[in-house]
Amino acid sequence: MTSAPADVPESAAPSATGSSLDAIRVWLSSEGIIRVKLPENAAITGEQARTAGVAVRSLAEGQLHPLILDLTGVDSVTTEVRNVYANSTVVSAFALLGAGPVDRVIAHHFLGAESVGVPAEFFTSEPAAISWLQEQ
Amino acid sequence: MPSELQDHRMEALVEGIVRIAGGDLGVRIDRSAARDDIDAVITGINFMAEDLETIYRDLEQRVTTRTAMLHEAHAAMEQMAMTDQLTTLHNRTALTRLIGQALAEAARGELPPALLLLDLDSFKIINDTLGHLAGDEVLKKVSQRLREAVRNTDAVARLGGDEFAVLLPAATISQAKRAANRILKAVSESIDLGEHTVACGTSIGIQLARSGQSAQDLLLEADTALYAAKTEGRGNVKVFEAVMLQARQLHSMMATELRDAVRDDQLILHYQPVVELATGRIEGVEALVRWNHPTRGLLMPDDFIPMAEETGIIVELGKWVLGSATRQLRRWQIDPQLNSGGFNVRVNLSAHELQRLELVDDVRDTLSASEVQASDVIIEITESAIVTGDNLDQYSLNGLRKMGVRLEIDDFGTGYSSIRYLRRLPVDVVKVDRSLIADLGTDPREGEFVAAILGLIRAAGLKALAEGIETAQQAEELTRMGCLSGQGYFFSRPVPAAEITALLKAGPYKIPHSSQTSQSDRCPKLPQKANGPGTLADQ
Repeated sequence: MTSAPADVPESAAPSATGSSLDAIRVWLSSEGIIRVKLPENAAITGEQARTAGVAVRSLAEGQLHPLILDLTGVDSVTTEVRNVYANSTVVSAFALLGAGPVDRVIAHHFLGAESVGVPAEFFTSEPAAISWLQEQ
Repeated sequence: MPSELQDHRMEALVEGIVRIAGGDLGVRIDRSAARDDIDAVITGINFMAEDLETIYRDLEQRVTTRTAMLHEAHAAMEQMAMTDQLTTLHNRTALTRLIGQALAEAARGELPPALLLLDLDSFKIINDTLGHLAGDEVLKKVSQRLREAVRNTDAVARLGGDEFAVLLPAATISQAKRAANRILKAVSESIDLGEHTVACGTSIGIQLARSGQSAQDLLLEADTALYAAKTEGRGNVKVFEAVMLQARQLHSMMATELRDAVRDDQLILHYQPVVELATGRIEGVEALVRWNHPTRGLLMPDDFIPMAEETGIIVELGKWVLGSATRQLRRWQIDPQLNSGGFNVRVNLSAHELQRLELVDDVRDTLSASEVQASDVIIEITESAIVTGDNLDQYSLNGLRKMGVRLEIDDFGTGYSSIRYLRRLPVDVVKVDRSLIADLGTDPREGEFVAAILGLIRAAGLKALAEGIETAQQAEELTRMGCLSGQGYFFSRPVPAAEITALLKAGPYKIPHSSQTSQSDRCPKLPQKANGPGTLADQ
């Protein structure tokens, strides 16, 4: 599980529901990147995703922001979760972060969604992801 | 990773794929905590199964929604197909279906259905004078009254135009008659159209279904009863009787025969002289049509003209009469043996023909083809047709007059007592009805009466023609009163063209003076002809 850096306040921390072991965490990093961390070994539901979406829009304050979606070690996501991802309106580019083949498949499940047409890539390295977002 | 774990996951993977391939899209394959390549494949297969499940669910939902929409649309279309759009009553299709259901109930022991057919007595006049919007409003109001006049279990339908039907599903003849009387009363009450109030009566035909009867038969018999009701005038109710159907079939057969008769030259024209009373000269003739029926002999106009008007055959018949009469006129006019300068022909025109926009052009074409002058043709129209005519009638009359054809009011004095209209009608000649001069010569007061009528016609700037002159005394009196022209049996019955030719060759009639007349002169077979015996061979 990834924790938010100490200098960045958590903006949204919905309580854990369903089979997830922990809540989705959402915060704005010092680079101006919105960070979303899915809890490891959790099955993410649509309701959790929608709550996180509200938090993302709140952080964005009507502006477009790059976003890192860290799905490392997540157990599963439903189609509803992917729909929330695909319907994002305040994200300028998505970097999906994971480690290993299962994360890669889950990430590409997101990438295969009929998204709003924003750039999106899968990364196994956080610095590479940040670097790519900054180029967008 | 232990090999038995891999084998177990591979078996689970194969089993899962087999079940998904078999259509069980709810299958999810368990993954291990290893999160290796096999787990990645399992995750991918699970995603694909979930996607497929979502797509299938969406498709099924769409199919369900679309099927429901189709059913709704179908129901709406069926409702539309069974409903008269203007009045929202049942239409003919719906009525036929309801009759079928009621007949089926009757076959199972219920009382038989009764069918009432009705149409409005004055609807065409309302439509023609106030326009179609007013006509539609009348139809809606009548529909509402019909609904209110019958039970909720009875069905009211509009069959088209101003024709309605009421079906009493299980009824007796007395119930049907009571319903008919309620309808008569409801429909005859005046209808408020805002600026206008109209009265619109109805006639009703009733038939109670017989055992084993079809819906179409029931409709036909109720319609036949309606036809019989209308034949007897307005506001009538008639229950079907078999004899009505026979009469209607005979009528229908005769209509077919008449259509053939016009085409096959079974019609003939007879001509009755019109005499200039001052001189006895035959100034023209009135053409009168007869039907030389192959089995029934020579039929007079009263036997077939009403039917010709009703069936529309009058148009072809009218064209035939005008064409034949003007061609004969031309033959008389160019005959060097006849001194026929200014000789003219009178032709009767039905009020129905005045409603045809093509009438004026047809008359022009006919006169042109016959090579006769328009001024040598006088068209006779009944008093009622001229007085009650609408804009279309006026258009026809004005068109004929502009062409130079003269117009004559036929049967003057039989229809309308108002004399005011005489001054503003587009006519040239007035034919005084025979009934007005019948007692001329026998009743002194009658003379004053006829003289007053002739004076009135003269005062209106019109020419008077007296018909029905049967005696020398009548001819003499009319001459003395200044009546310009006359016709009647005293001069000649209507005769074939050849006899008119003979009459023309014989020269003028001799109109007697007062000293010459006696009671014996009343005999129509004793015309006073200056010369030329045997001129009335057909009498």
